[in-house]
Amino acid sequence: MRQAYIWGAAAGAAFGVVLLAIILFVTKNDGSLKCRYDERQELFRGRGYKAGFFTFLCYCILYGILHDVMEIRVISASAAMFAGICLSVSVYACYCIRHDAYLALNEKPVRIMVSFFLVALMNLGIGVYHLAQGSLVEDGVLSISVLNPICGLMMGVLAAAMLFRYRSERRHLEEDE
Amino acid sequence: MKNLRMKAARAALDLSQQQLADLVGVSRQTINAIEKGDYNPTIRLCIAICRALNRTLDDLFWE
Repeated sequence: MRQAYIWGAAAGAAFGVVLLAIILFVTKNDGSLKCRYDERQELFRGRGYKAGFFTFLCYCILYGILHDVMEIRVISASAAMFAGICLSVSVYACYCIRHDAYLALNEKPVRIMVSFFLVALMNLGIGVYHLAQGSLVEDGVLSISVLNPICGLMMGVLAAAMLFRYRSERRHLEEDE
Repeated sequence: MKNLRMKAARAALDLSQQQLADLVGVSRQTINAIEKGDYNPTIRLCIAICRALNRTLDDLFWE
C-alpha cells in the first residue's frame, strides 16, 4: 500500500514537471524556457520576494502560537505548511503583478492567464470532489486534501489580478495611441 | 521628477512607449516609469535610451 502511494506520488510529480515544462515553453515568445526581465522588474521582484518571505515568517509564528500555545488546531501540519507557502507566494506574485514585474519580457500575457485559470479550475474541481467524498475534514481538522482548493484559490486570485492589470495596460496603450 | 525631455525626444521621433521599449530591450512600463520620474535607470539603460533616441546623456538625463 505504501509502495503504491509512493509510486503514485512520483508519477504525479513527474506529470507536474512535464506539464510545467510544456507551459513554460508554450507561454514564451521566443520558445526558450528562460524568463528575461529588465532591471526595474528585477528590482521589484526582489522587493516582492522580501514581502513574501516576511509574510511566511509571520505566518509561521502565528501558526506556532495558535497550534502549540493556544492549542487551536483546525488544520493538519502539512496542509498548514502548504497554506503558508501559498499565502507568501500570493503576496509575492500580487506585488510583482501590481508593479508590472511578474510577466517576463518574452512571455505572452494571455497564455499565462489562461493557464492560471485552467490550473485554478482543475484544482477547485478536485477540491469539490474531495468535499463530496467527505475527505476534506478528518478527525475535526482540515486534512491534506485541502491543498487542492487552496492552490485553486491562489491561482484564481493571481489570474484575476493579472487580468485586471492586463486590462488597465490595454487601456493605457489605447490612450497612448 | 518627470523626465519631459525624454518624452519630447521620443515624441520627436514619433515613437510610442512600446516601440522605444522594444528598441531598448525593456518593458513599456519601465519606459513609462522613467518618464514619470518613478524610476531612476542605471547608466547602462540611460545609454541605451540615448542611443535609441539619438541624443546624449546630457540632453536627456542631466539636470
